[in-house]
Amino acid sequence: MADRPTSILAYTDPRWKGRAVIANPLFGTTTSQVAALFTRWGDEKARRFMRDLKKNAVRVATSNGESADFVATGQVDFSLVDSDDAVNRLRQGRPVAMVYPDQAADGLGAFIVPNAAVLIAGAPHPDAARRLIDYLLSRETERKLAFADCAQLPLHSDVPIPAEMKPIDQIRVMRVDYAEVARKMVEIQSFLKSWVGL
Amino acid sequence: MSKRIILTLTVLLLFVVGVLPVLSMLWKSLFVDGHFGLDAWRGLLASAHQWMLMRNSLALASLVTLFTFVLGVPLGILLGKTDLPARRFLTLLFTIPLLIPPYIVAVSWFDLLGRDGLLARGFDVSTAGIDDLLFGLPGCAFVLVSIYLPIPMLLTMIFTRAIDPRLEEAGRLVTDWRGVLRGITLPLILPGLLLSALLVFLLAFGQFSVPSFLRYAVYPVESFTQFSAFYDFDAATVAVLPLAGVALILLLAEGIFLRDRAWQALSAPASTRPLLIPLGARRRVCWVLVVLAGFFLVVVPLVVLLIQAAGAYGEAFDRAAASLSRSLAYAAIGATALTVLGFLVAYLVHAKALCCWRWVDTSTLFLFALPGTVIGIGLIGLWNRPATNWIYATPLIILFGYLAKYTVLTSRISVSQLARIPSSMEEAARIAGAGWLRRLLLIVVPLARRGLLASWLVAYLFSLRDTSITMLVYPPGHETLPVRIFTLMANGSPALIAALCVIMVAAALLPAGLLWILLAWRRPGREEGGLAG
Repeated sequence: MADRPTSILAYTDPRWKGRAVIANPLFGTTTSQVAALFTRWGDEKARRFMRDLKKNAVRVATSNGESADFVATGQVDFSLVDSDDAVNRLRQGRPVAMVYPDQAADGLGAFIVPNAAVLIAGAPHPDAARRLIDYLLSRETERKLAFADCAQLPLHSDVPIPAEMKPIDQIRVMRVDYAEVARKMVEIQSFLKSWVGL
Repeated sequence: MSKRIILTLTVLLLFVVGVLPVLSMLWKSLFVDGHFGLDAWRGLLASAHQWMLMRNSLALASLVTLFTFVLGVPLGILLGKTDLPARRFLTLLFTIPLLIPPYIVAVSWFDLLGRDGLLARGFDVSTAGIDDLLFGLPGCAFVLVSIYLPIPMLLTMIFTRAIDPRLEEAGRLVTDWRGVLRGITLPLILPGLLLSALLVFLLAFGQFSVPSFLRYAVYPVESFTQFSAFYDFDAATVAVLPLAGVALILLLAEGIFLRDRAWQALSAPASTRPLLIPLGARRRVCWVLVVLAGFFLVVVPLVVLLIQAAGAYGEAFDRAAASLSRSLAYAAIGATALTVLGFLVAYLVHAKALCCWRWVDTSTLFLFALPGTVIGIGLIGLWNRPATNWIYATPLIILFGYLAKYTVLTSRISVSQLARIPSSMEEAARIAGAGWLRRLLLIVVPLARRGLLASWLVAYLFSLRDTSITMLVYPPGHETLPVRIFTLMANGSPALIAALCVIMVAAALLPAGLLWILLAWRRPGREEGGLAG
């Protein structure tokens, strides 16, 4: 497909009416993505965007994996998924391409879902926990995670990554306050439930 | 004294691993933020989504029950009551789907009929229409029918073989075999057939992995999602309670209308050979039809997996060897524990050794009827606390799940075996001064060894294929092969998934085949008693 969507706003573009899918925003990383949009755009614009998604006949899948399969089998043209969903379809030789959305100079940027490991105050084995966190943050672990099915983006710039992915310093990243995103995820639950028809 | 202590401990163990988690779940649903309240229940009843889930679950279970019954009963009669050639082989063939994790059958049909499947690629045709049917009620029902078909088939065979042949011989004096089947055989086994339909309904109603894979919204998938995606334990608990309610209502109905009647017809002595219906000129046609059905429902899915898996076995072993080892070990340990627990429960029920014997028997059946997600969420709610981390954070929690769910299988097999051992054997030893434990270990257990071996085999297979409980409760680093395959499905290549499924099928069928040969080595009738039924 020569004419690829380049922005998340393609979801509301009439050109793509009925040709896009999104995973159920009540679940997983799609909730984080939608919550991030709420924090960047504000409630009113984000709610309008979600309503416009419906008007544009966007299909709702049960998971990002299912969304990626819909694209891979040609049932729809594009979907917002996690990088691992796209990378794995590419590794399987499916006819798909990975587009990092909103990469223009003034663009919103691609939302990065961080993984967090925390040392809980008062934990019974703090030294073991520190060693685990150090292990998780090591270059070798980042390399393993990048080449595994989960296709995690390394934060160390010198860690090799699979050919299907871009290093994080070449991606325009969506600037968000992750604590605010976490609060917003809880706050918009009732809106999202009504959005999916529950 | 030791008898009373051991059997009481057995009852306590069953209560702690099975009944207590369910009761604690029910208790928690009555409280909101630490205060008594029925908000959770009000929310459940007021939600249109919940009613949609209930409608979908009932529709799926009803369709599966109807078709397995309509196909399974004639198949059971053909394989158990006629002179059809290769009946033993065909029985084994049709039983295979029941022995493997259900979603493997769904994966196989998807590999064949999906938009990118073997059919579409091999013949360059569009399978979009079939793919649409597969992902929804028709596909779900079709896959589950092929999996649960052996239940009415096997129970029909068991019940028809257990009818006193003199009744049918008397009928043959006045009418042909069609009349005997209509007037004597089928009416006699009807309660048993209804029992098989109830069993299929409950299993289909609680099915999680197939509807989850084929994207059909039913209650078990919803409760799993509430737990795994939202980490909302209260919502997950409330979402599983209707499942427990339906299971309870159906079991009460079974207890009132079917339980005793189902076994009344089984009046034939164990050594009696059943009368076989000569098919005559129709023998070849029937055989071809049955073979075609077996080929379509069993052979095709297995062959599809083998084709799809070509070349991916190396990667599959690399990625899942540890899960496979764990699966085999947990299934073997679970089967051994289930055999012992089931045998003690069976002794308690058979001898009515404690006043609570009927309650124990009903509880094991109720726990089996409960969907695995209910038991899994109940176990997590009860044991996920610092003081009991030695259970929750270790494979013990998986063992608890097996014991809760599958004890009824081993206890029912053992009950039927104990019923065939003359009570005079144990009485003679008691008069000679042998204590209960000595009598149990030196007289009853050796006499019941075939039943115990069969119990172990059945428990091994059900533990090995378990997905719904293990998926919820497995501690980090302890996932089993069915769980590993299920999680890899999100991103694994179809070839890798197919190879893992083939390994899973082999892990189930090879030990099962060996033990089956061992069990069949000396046919029932030559030895004391035989397999259950």
